[in-house]
Amino acid sequence: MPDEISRLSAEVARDPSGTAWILLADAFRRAGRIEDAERVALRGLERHPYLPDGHDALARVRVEQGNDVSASDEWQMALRLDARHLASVKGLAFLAHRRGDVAAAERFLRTAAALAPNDARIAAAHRKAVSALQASSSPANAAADHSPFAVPHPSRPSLDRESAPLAPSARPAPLGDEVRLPSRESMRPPSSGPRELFADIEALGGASALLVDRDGLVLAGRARDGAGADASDVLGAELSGLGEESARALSQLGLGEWDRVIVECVGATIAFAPARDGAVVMLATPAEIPLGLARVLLDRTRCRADGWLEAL
Amino acid sequence: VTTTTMDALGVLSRLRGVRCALVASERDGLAIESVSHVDVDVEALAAFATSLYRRARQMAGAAGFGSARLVGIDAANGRVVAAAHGDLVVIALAERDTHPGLLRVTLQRALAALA
Repeated sequence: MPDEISRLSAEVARDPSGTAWILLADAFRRAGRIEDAERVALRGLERHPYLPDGHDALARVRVEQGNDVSASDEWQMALRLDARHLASVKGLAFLAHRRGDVAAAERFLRTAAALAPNDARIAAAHRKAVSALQASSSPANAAADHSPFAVPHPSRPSLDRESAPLAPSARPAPLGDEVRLPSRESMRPPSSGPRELFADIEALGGASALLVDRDGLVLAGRARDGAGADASDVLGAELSGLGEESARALSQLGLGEWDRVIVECVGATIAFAPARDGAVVMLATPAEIPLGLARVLLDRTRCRADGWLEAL
Repeated sequence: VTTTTMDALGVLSRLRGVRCALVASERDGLAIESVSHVDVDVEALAAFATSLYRRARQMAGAAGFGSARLVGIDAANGRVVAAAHGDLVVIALAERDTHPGLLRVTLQRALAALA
């Protein structure tokens, strides 16, 4: 392992614009050097924000850190970039299982099985998930411990990145111990509370993030103005109706649904994106934050907001 | 003024993927000059982009972020970017796969040509 880390470190140093950082982050993670893995993954994603494998690498680090919400953000981000990214689908299946959402786990495994029809392990995991789902839907069987669920904890995934979320575990999770209704809290960051919903994303870029409903009322997060004062309500009101207005105009122009708006100002970059149920997310970053990073943070903010709204 | 405006639009319209480049008045949202593919509704684009720019400018001002320099919207089938010089707003409509960085830089060059 040290040899592999040394080799990959040298490769990253030799070609900083390459993608060896993904393997290096994974090697650090497997060696238990989680902080190094996180640092390499975050730095790599600053250069290559559109690499699904990079987001997958960071998601695995987040799992090791016990931050399932952030891991989910990363895997969803990878799927936005590549809807057929198998490792991300399997990762989301694992997270769904871990929070006890058997139906979601089954859905993700079904998708994974469709993407990799010849993968026997996925097929087996999917079969067990279907059985688990049937068992959990039967009141008479709800309390019974039927079969082990085949989406184990990837705390030490194998070298095969694709198979990691389904890799054998030292202690398979018995279904009877694990199946329960998904907790709303599990969809939220550790320091819950709507104002803190985007706290970890904000910390990445000195940003402020806000979620407002279709009427411009603040749902979560906070926004600060150029002087650092709370401007959540002002910006929420300014955002009111933006989504519907944009949708109408873009439809008339034949441009389809809007994906994001970015406003470059003298003192900041403001970015918006549509969220579930007509809501809009807004992210404001200092002007010195690169535009590409602002876009990545916006996408994460949107993923977080969608998950939170879904769990409400 | 027309020659300068057309120079600015020429810079933009030569970029691969740009389907329409136009200059509009921010005050009334009307197109002043444009270079466009035949299937683009230039008047609707001018009205939408100037409205979006105006709104973004107001929002930036209300939040104390300073003046808005550039506004861009990404949609499923294309991108629209806009930047202003005085009352004039330079707008480009491009294909979705147009390089966003190049589009942004070219818009700024077009703006410089207008100035």
